[in-house]
Amino acid sequence: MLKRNWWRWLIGLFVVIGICWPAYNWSRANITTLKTAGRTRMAPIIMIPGSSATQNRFDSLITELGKETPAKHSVLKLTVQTNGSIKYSGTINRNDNQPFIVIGFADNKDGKANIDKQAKWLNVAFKSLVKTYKFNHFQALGHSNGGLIWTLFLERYLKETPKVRVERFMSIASPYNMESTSTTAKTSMFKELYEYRTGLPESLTVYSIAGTENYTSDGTVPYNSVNYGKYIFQDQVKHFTEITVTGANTAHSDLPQNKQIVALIRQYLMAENVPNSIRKQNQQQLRR
Amino acid sequence: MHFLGSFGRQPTRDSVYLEQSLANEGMNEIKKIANGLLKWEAGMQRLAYWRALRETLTLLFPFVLIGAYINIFNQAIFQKNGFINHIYYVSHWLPGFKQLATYTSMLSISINGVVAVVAAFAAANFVVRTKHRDNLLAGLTAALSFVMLNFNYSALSQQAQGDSSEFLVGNLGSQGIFLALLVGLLTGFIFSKLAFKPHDHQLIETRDHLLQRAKHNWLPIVVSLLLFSLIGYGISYVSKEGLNGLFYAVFQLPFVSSSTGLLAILGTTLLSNFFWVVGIIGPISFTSSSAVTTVQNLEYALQHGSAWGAPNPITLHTLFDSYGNMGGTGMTLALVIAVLWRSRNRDYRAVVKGSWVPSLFNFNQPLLVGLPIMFSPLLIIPFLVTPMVSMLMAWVAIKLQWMPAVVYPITRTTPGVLMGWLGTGGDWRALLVSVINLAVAVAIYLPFILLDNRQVTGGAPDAKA
Repeated sequence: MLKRNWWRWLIGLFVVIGICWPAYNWSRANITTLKTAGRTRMAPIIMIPGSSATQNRFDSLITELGKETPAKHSVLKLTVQTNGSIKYSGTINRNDNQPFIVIGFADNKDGKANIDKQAKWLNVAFKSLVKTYKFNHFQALGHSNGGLIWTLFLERYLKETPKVRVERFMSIASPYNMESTSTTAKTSMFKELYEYRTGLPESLTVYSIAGTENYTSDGTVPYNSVNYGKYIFQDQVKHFTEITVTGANTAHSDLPQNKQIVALIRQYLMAENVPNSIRKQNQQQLRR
Repeated sequence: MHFLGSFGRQPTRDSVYLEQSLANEGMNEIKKIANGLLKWEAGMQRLAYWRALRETLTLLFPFVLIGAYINIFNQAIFQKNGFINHIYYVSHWLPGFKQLATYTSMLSISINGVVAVVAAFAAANFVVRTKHRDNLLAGLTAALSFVMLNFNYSALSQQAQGDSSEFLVGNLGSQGIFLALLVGLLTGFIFSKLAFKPHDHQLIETRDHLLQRAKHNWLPIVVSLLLFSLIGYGISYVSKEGLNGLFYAVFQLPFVSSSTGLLAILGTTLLSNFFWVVGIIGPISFTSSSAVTTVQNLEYALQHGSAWGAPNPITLHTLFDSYGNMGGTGMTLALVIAVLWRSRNRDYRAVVKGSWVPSLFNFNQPLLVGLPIMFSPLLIIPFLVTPMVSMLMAWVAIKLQWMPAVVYPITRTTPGVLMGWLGTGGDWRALLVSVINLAVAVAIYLPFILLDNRQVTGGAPDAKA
C-alpha cells in the first residue's frame, strides 16, 4: 500500500506544508495586527435597570429596538454579585460597533444606601468591560433608579477610567428626589447627587424622560421627583433636555418598551438615522 | 441506488484480528455486547419505519454533500474570516471576490436552508411506498405539513414589520431534520392507515387516474395538514421559535450557558452532540468564540504577549471548539481516517471518499446523513465518546500546564488538528496534544468499524441498508 502510493503520500506532505506554513504566518501576522489595533470604534449602549429588576429587564426594549433597526445589535448581560465578581451571559459580536450591554445587580434592592453600593458595583463592572472590550466612548441608559446609579457613577467614578468618554445619557423616569412629591423638600439621595454634580463630564448630553399617567406621576415615580434632575444637570453638562411622555403605556414599568420612548432612544441615544415619520413624532413631543 | 448493502464476501483479516483481540483479552463480556449491538442494529433494520428513516438519510446524501462543498467555498474561501481566505489572502488578489461571496452565500442558504423539507417529503414517501399507498401525495403532504409546523405566527401579529419572514426559516435547514423525519414518518403512518385504496402505479398518468388519486387520499391529506398545523399553532403559544426552539431552549439554561467547570462543559457537549445524531444540528457549534471569557483571554494574551496564564483556561471554547471538534462534531475526522484505513464496508468507503474534504474544514453533515451516523446504534457510541475523551485529555494538559489554553482567534473552518496550534499562537505542544487526540479518537472509532466489517462480511446477511 505504502510503496504503491508513494506519490500520494508526497502530494499529501506538500499539501500539509502548503497549509501549515501560511497558516502559521497568518496567525503570527494576525496577532501583531490585533496588538496594534484596539476596538476603538465600538461605542456600546450600556443599560441599567431599576430597582428589583434583573439583567433581563430590557429584553422587550431590545427586541423593539432590534425590530426596526437595520443593523443587528448583539447583547451582553452582566450581573454584579455582592462581592464584586461578575457573571456574564450573551456575547458581543466581533464586528458589532454598537452592542447593548445590560448591567444588573444581584442585590437590586431600593434605597439610598443600596444605590450608593450599586454605583460602586457599576464601577467594577465598567472597568472590567473597558479592560475586555477596549472601548473609549459609550452611551448610557437608565430606567428608574438605574438613572440614579448612572448619575452617581458619572459624577464620582467615571474619572477613574480617564480614557473613556460618555457621550449621551438618557434616564427614563428616574426619581432624582426619590419618592418625594414635594417641590421643596430635599431627600438625602438628591442631596448626594447635588453635592457631587460638579464631577459630571462637561461634554455630556443628558435626556431625562418622564412618563405621566396623570398630572402628578406615572403611577410609581412622582413627576416632581423626575423634574428635580434639572437641579443636578443644568449648567453642569453640555445639553440637558427634559421630555414628558403621556398617553398609552405610560405606567412606570411600561416606559422602557413604550413606543414613543423607543423612538426617542433610537433618535437621541443611538443617534440612528431614523425615518422622517419618527423624527416628526419626536419633534412634536419636544415642542410641547 | 448503489448504496444497497453488500454481503456474501469472504471474512477478512480485520474480522479475524477482531476475533483474536477479543479472545486474547478474554473479554467475553465485550464480545457479548458487540454481538448484542450488531443484533440490535440488524433488528432495527427490520422495522419498516426505521428503514424508511435511514433510506431518507441516504437519499439526502447527495444534496447534503453538495451543500457541504458549497459551504467550503462559501465559508472557508469567500468569507472574510474563512480559513483559506486568511492564509492565502484570497480577497486581496481574486477579482470578483465579493460577487463570488454573494453567489456562494445564495447557494449555501438555498441548498442547506431547506433540506429538512426534502427530508419530510422523502420520509413519508418511503414509508408509504412499503404500504402500497400513494407515496407521491404522501410526500407532498408531509412537506407541506412540515412547513406549516414551522410557521412564524409573530409575522401575523400587529406589531410585526414587513421584513419578518412568514416561516421560521432556520428550522427548515439541517437543524430541522429531526422534526422533518418525525413529520414524514407520522404522515406516512396516517396515509397507510387512512388512505381508502391501495395505489396502483401507472406508467402513463391519465387525468382520470390523477383525480382518482385525489379521491382516494383526501382524508389522510386533510388529517395530516390539520394535525400539524394545529400542533404548530399550539406550540406558538409556548415557543416563538417553534418546536425546535423548545429543543434549543435547553441551552439557554444557566447550567449550560455560562459553563466554566469541566463537568458542565462535558455535559453541554454530550447534550449537543446527542442532538446532532438525532438530527437537530448545531445548538452550540462554535458560538462560544465571542464569549466574554474568550475575549478576556485574548486581551490578556495580547497584553502579556503569550498564551500562558490566561484568566479563563477552561471554557467551552478552549476545550470543545479547539480539541473536541476535529472534522466537525464527534471528532469525525477520526472516523474518516478509521474508515479509509480499515473499513471493508463498500458503502462506508464510498461515502467517506466523497466527504473527507468537507470534513477537513469541519463540515461533517455528509457523514451524518451519508453513512449515516444519525440513528446508527453502532456509530453513535464513538460519536458521543470521542469528543469527551479529547476534551478530557486537553483539560489534563492545560491543568498540568503542559500547554497553554487557546486564546487567539481561530475560525470555525480551521482544520481541526491545527486549531490548538494556531489558537495558542503556534505552540508545538498544543499541536502534539491535537495529534494525540486524533490518534486516540481513531483508536476509539476503529473497533466499531471492525465490528461493522464483521456485519458486512461474516455476520448475518444484512438486508437493504
